Amino acid sequence: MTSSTSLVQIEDIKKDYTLGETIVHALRGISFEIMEGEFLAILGQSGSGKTTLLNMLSALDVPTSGRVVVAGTDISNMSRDERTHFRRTSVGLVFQFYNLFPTLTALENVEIGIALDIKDKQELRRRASHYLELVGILDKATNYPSQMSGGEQQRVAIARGLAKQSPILILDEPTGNLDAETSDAIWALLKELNTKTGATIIAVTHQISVSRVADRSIFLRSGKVYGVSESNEEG
Amino acid sequence: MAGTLLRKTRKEIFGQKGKVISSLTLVFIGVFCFVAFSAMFPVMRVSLDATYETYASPDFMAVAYAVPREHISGIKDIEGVEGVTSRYHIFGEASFTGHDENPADIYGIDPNTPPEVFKLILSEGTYLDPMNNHTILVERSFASSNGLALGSELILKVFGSEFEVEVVGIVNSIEHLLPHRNPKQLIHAPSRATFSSIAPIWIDISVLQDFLYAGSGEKDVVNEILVRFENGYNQTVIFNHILSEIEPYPIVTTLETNDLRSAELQRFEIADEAVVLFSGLIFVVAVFVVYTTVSRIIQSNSRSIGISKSLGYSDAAIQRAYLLWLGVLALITTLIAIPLGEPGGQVFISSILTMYSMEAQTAALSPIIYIVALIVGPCSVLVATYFPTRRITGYEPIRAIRGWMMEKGYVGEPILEKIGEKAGISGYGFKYIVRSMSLNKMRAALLIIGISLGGAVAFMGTTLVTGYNTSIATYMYQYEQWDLLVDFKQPLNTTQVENLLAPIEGIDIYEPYLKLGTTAVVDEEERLVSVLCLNSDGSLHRFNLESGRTIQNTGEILVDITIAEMLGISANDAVNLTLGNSSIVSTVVGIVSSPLNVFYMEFAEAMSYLHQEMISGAFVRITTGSDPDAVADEVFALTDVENSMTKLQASSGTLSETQGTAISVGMAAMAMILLLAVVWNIVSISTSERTPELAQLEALGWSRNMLTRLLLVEVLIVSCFGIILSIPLGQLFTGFLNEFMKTYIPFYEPSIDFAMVLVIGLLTIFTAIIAVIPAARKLRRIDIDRVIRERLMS
Ligand SMILES: Nc1ncnc2c1ncn2[C@@H]1O[C@H](COP(=O)(O)OP(=O)(O)OP(=O)(O)O)[C@@H](O)[C@H]1O
Ligand SMILES: [Mg+2]
Repeated sequence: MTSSTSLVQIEDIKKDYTLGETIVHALRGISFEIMEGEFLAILGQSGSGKTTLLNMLSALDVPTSGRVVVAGTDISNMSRDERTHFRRTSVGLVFQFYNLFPTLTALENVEIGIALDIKDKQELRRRASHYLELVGILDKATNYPSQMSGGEQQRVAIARGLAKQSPILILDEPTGNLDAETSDAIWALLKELNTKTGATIIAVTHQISVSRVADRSIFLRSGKVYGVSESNEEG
Repeated sequence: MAGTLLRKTRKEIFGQKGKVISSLTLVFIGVFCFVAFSAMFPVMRVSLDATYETYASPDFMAVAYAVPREHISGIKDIEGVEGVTSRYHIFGEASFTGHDENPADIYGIDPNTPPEVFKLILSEGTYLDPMNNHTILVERSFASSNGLALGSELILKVFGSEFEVEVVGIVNSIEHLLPHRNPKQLIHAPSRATFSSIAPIWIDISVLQDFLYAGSGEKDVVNEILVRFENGYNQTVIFNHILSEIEPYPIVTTLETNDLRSAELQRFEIADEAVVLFSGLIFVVAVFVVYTTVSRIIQSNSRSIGISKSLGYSDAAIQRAYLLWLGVLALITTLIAIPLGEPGGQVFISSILTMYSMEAQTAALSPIIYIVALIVGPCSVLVATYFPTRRITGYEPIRAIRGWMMEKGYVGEPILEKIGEKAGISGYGFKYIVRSMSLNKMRAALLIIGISLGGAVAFMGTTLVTGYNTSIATYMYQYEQWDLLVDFKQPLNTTQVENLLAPIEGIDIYEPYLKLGTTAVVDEEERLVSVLCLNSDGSLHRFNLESGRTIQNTGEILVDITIAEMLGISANDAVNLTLGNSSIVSTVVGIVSSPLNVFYMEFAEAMSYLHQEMISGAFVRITTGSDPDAVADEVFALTDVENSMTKLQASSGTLSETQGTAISVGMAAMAMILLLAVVWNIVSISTSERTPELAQLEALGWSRNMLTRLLLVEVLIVSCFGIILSIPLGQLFTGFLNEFMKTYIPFYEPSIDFAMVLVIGLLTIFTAIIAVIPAARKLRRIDIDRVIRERLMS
């Protein structure tokens, strides 16, 4: 559910990467707002700056210029440790490449993402199992990443992001490795969570069809906002 | 095809340039040290031989009580004798600016003719002035390190009398640097051990004799006779001629070429082995490091290797490409190190020799050394490369293509984790660390080995020092019950000794002894030996028997183990001894570990073989309550007494506290550097290998302090294992060391100082933690954004 309160303000952010002699302008001045409880889709061609933008939102990285303000706090000016703390308390993350720990089982991979905040072991296990079940791979709970297919690993990563139950969920191409059917199920699940819990969801995707479940879609091209489309229907 | 594969492999190897270079550097150091040390020893030997020539070092030396110089004038005419020097040698004290009563080795020599044997080579000034007998010569290095120069004035103290002298010459002499450090004098005379700062001083002999025989007795006597032989003469024949020239004057002890020179050469043989061992150790470390480096290269390229395989390259071809590149790199490294090693070693050795006033000679290096270096250098790298490259077989092309993980990458729940859980440690940090350790068991093992090696070497160092000191102290405490050791200037008879010692109040009881240098026929070969005749069942001595029993009947003797081994004597052997004019056959009934390299005979029996009673000294027990130092001084003041030492002074082989600390600290420092290198390298590699995982933890909200703590937990865990392992390892090393030490001190017993062990344990952990700092700093600079973009899966 979108409320009318603005949660995130992105103010003219730019991001440059230096690659030896050349400078890559990954983001060339982007500004927009994200409402509390909004389901926002970010679309764009490969290399258009989607991951870069998400990394600014999740405070994994800081913009070269411009500001990102989340719930009144400027996260683009925070120290590294403050940003870490921000991620720990405020965002659930699902990476483009699933980034699981090879030495931990599926269940443990979910647990490690929330273990800092949930000390009770029973509760930890219960919560992790619940989200594995939600993404449909509870039967693989004791498998190690190298014993799972790419799509299964991706779903573990999604479960880890969701299990955090944080106010903001940031996902980078969460369904890139999934078949159409599973993929649709995941998007439906995200939409359901968004509606039920009021969590703000920001997801990068290549699938145009996602704009149907999203409240709004932002299109990036060469590091700039190229278009915005509001979804007419909600839900 | 093959060219492309080689190019790709080269890129993969050079992708880890830093690590490859650091591992090859270790190979370089290994080869360099091996060649350099090997080049040092021939130079050392040749130079030492040349030095023996230059300074005309003796082939024979007799230490007598006092022999008139006239009496032995015939020695120089013996066939085969090249040169003779006789002198009066005493221990005294020298006081000069900044030094009060510094111990001094004072040699009374002929002021008219410089010594023919153990030559003095003038470095500054002139030889002794025959017209002014208060002129002295001082050894160069002692002079320079103690601020003595030509014209310096000193006060010498000999037998309690003081007189002033002036330095007229500074000389080079090898006596104090080369080891005729007499093992026979280890305890019963001040040791001229390398560490000591005893002043070597030469003076007109007549000055000493005025003090020695104040008013009475012969004046022109000597107590050391040094003889150098011409080449090619039968030594035994010459020995006998010399001994008969000295007769009937008793000899305390004799030294032959073996004692005078080859002891050092033997030590070189041991040093030679040590060099191989040391270089070997560097190679072992190099192999470890190459192993971890290659593992890292292979692992980080697992996906591309899998893809190469899907394109049709065989496992063997890929493995060959790695072996070829690393082999070539190792060969190049070796080829650079070899030609640098030889001059490096020579420069090093000549600087050492110069320090000891010797000149470095040139000596060719055996080609075998080059061959060994050429084989060992590249081969160690090939072996270290071979094992990690075997993993290539497991990189299935199918996984690479589907983008799956290339390695099994999991280990289940290791025992350590279960133990941790039982102990209540169950956080995800612990879990993660323990699993990644058991995933890479080899690396954890290397860390543990590195830490335990460091701990063990440090451990060995401290047992050496405490063992060295307590061995002598313990021996003296357990087997010697006297308080004072008295030496007479000349052998006396019972009445004379009684008259001398009875008036001294502090003396409770005393037992006379006689020390004689003589010959023994062992296995039909005539050998120079020393016999110590004492009261074997008295109350002042006990024997530390290695085998056999103590003396019970006449005709029985005991032999010190060092001498027994040297001469090939075992219990129950018969030995033909010459004593006075008698030739007696004695049976060796026991072998003992003792501080002196001598035969032990019953005092009363010895007296029966001599024409007259001869007592060269006495072991004294003082009355309870008396002060040993005071009694020693009182006895020393007696005219007939040459020396009077308390038991403490007699144990002069003990290392002082500073020397002991220096050795312990030195060994510990070396050990810790080794440890630092190993832990540093491995933890750095393992941290960079886990960078994606650590970055991800940070992305999930783990602060950098928490991550640093993970590294610390890991190193603490391996440190614990390392320290536990270092105990048996340290014992093993100490065992080797004991064997070596026993060649110096037969009754050497290692001793463990628990406080020291504790300190070493803590030092080990501390050093291991220090070694983690670079990795921890690197961890703080990880670029999460970049790392997260790369896949973790490879
Ligand atoms: N560390 C970096 N150094 C240099 N250039 C970089 C770096 N990271 C990203 N870039 C560049 O920035 C641009 C934007 O990258 P980004 O990852 O945001 O794209 P994306 O939209 O997520 O693409 P994709 O859909 O392929 O994931 C690209 O041109 C990329 O090459
Ligand atoms: Mg992307």
